[in-house]
Amino acid sequence: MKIGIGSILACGLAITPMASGHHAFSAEFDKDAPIELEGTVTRVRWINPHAWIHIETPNEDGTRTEWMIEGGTPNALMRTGINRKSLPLGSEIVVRGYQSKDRSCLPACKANGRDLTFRDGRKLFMGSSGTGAPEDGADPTEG
Amino acid sequence: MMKSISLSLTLLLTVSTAFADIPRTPNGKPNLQGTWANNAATPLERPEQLADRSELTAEEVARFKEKHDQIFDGEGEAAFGDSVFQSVLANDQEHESYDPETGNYNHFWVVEREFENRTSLITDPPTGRLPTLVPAAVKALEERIAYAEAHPADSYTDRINSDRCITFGVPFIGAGYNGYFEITQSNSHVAIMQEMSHETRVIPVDNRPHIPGNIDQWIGDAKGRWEGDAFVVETKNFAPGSSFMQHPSENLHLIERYELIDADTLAWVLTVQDETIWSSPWTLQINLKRSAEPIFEYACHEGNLSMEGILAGHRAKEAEAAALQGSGGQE
Repeated sequence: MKIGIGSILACGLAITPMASGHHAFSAEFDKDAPIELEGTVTRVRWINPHAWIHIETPNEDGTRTEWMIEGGTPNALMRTGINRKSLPLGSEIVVRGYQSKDRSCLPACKANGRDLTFRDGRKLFMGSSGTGAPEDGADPTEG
Repeated sequence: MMKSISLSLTLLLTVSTAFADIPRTPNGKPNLQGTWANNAATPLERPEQLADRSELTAEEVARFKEKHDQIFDGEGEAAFGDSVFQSVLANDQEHESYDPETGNYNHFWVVEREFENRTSLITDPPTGRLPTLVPAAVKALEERIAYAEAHPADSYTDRINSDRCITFGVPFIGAGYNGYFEITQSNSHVAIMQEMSHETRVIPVDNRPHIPGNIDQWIGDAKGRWEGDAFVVETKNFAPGSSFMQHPSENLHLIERYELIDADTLAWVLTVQDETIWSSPWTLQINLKRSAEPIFEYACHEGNLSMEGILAGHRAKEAEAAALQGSGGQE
């Protein structure tokens, strides 16, 4: 991402990029490599400044590919009641984003999670029992 | 002398009126302990459209809040910092992405912002706008931008402090992104821990002098004192590479006043003085809100995962460019 001094000065000298708190996704991911993945959640890493969601996607030859999907900081989600059980392993999700500039796929292929949804289109961590709703006792997986 | 008088007047003018029933610690000092949140949408600088307005009406605040909830319903892309207020002001349903090339993540990753009646955090200058940068600071900024464009990731040292999990800057004034602080008091010290990214300032209040000028630290050297019911902190001795407001400067001198406005609101008045960067001192006020939630451990992993991805990505792009050049530009 190209940032000119004019735009930096105009936006109050960096309070916006500073508040984003991390590198731009475009530093790591390739704007020329958009991807859409459907896969099964195998691991969720609630770490800063970016959570990582691991998924496996099926290949035509019957094998599976592991992808690491980079998301946002988990702290705000935790304050809304999201916990380690809010995205159960085995969940089927859809990821729209861009693949990493480094295509070595070591230890797994990587992409940014620009848009994360369940297969039926619902956003992750929003609203539904067992899928990220704040704990209200209605979800047997809470606790 | 004139500068110090001017600065003192500024501080007096910006101090908030404390309330009567201040909770106190056993030694009689105001009890500021607890977790405090900085989630207001108030922009650092007053938008030009509101140039003659330091405050919004109650109706405008309600309308802005409603518009905010409509724009940022979690479906769209995350918005940070001042862009939230600016999008609401512009009635911008499709706010500009922080990262237009690859986009950013969904807005559900970031905290909900709050609206107050102020139109800027900056209280001095009265325009609500930053003073101009001195020419040398503009030149240094231009040079840093030019270098960053030419050498975005030759090495990890080309990446900013936050990418390297060194520091996100102290004090962290960005709102809505892990802008939480935990204050702990004793008779001799006040500790302020900021969530972003778990830097803690352990501030003596025993009138000891600042450390010698030849010793610098990423978080500076903070010394505190009580002025009535206000806790005042002066910080200097910043390391040359520390970058408050993205201006690396060892001449930064910060004066902060923390004063309870009510039981759940802590006025944080920060005066910034660095004549090698800004043409005059300036002051902002952030109204921190008491939070029932604890600070979450930040445990920065950026250097473990994303740094590797950034460096490997740039090496891959360099290899692609070299291969293309070797083939005479034929793909």
